[in-house]
Amino acid sequence: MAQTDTTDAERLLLPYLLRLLPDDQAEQVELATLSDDQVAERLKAVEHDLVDGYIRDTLDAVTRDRFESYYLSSPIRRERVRFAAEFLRAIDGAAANGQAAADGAAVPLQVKRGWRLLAAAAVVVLASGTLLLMLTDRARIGEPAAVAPPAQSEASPSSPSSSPSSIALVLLPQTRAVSEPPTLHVAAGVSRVRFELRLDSDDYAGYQAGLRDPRTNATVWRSTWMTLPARAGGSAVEVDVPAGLLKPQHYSLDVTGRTTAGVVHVVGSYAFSVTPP
Amino acid sequence: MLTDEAREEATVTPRGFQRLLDWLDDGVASHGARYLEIRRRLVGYFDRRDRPAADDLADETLTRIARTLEREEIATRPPARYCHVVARFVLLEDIRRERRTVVLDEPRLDAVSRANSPDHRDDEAGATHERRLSCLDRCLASLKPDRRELIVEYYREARREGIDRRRSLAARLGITMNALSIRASRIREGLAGCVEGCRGTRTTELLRRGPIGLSAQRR
Repeated sequence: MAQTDTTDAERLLLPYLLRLLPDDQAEQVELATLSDDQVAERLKAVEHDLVDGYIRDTLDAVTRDRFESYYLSSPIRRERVRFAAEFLRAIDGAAANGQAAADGAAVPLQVKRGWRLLAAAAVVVLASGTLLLMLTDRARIGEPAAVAPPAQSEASPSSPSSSPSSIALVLLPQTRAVSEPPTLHVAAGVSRVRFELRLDSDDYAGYQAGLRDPRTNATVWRSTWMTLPARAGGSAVEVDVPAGLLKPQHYSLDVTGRTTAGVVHVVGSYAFSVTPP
Repeated sequence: MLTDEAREEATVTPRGFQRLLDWLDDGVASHGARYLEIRRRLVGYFDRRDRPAADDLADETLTRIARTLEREEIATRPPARYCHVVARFVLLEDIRRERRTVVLDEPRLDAVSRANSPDHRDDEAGATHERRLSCLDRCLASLKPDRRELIVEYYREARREGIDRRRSLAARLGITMNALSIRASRIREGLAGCVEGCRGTRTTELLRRGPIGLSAQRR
């Protein structure tokens, strides 16, 4: 949803827009939004982000439910959503046209067809019976990272992540570097793939990852909301994706962060591709 | 929902409307923009309070203020604060009026159900939809390049680069993220106004007719 800094005002404005504030607090916000130009402007910005979040499907489940049950109950607000959908479509169209023009001028054909993704490489790490494939080097572009389930003897019986039927993939924060996405080969017998999605920083109270099919732009799987444990070497969101969902094609894992006030931001996207078995 | 009787009582003279515009401007000539902004905020206020006739209630609020201004000065500053006071009374009266109403307000229900019906949506989604899209493209294209670039960059699909893109945009412009969000939001609102104008000049009509129409008898 909102991709702006969370401020004290915003913490009240979002619940105000969803009519979640107690009456006395709502009245204070009402007075401020009517009589204070700055707060009125901020309210507009927060409302735009809320509506855009609904349209772009980046709201968490609780906010989305409230949005649908309250915000969409008014014809005036439904009209705003309708305008926002058209506005975003026009914006994305303009962005795509601008991007295409830029690509046409400076970027090789391969990139037009491909992905703007993190640098990829393969560092195979065998630890506690879990096979980690860390993709960090562009040298292996086009060469599928064949990942087979580790042998039974390498598994740690106490750890779910070390199940012989799971594999793991570490993805780094996306950069603007241009290259092919890391590839993943899921061997027979693998029931789930653990993704470790590295973050630049841990700025949110909760995180959720969604597996998006870029062909349809539909989110085909979502993790539960989670907090990040303190760990050496930087923050990461770890999710187990059912291997059965992964077909030979490109995917994106989109990470969203949620503030303590319930404001949801897109944190980043991690693209990868699955090769045929 | 206002009755015809209430609507008749609520009309405002051209002089009262002009005084209202001047009072809302509070010394800074906005050529009606301030009136439209305050009216928009009032509509939002009533709408968030689940009043089905939010537009009417906003007009009623402004009409009462205009009629007061015809008789006397209003010392409360800023003007929007006084608007809030009047709006609260109008809200409470509307809630009381609704409680007194035993018979279902069929026109309202009908309007709501029509707004929700697939047929209605289909009609809207037809020619009007195409016209809106065409207006949007035209309005977007008419923006100055730097403003256009800003909102495209700010609002485009965000999954890929997320908040970083907005941060770098704010850094490039030398402003805070908060200021950037407000700047982008203003341009977007302006675009919405442009689309309204392109479709049928609603803002011009609002300024021409005043809160609830100008009273010919009292001119």
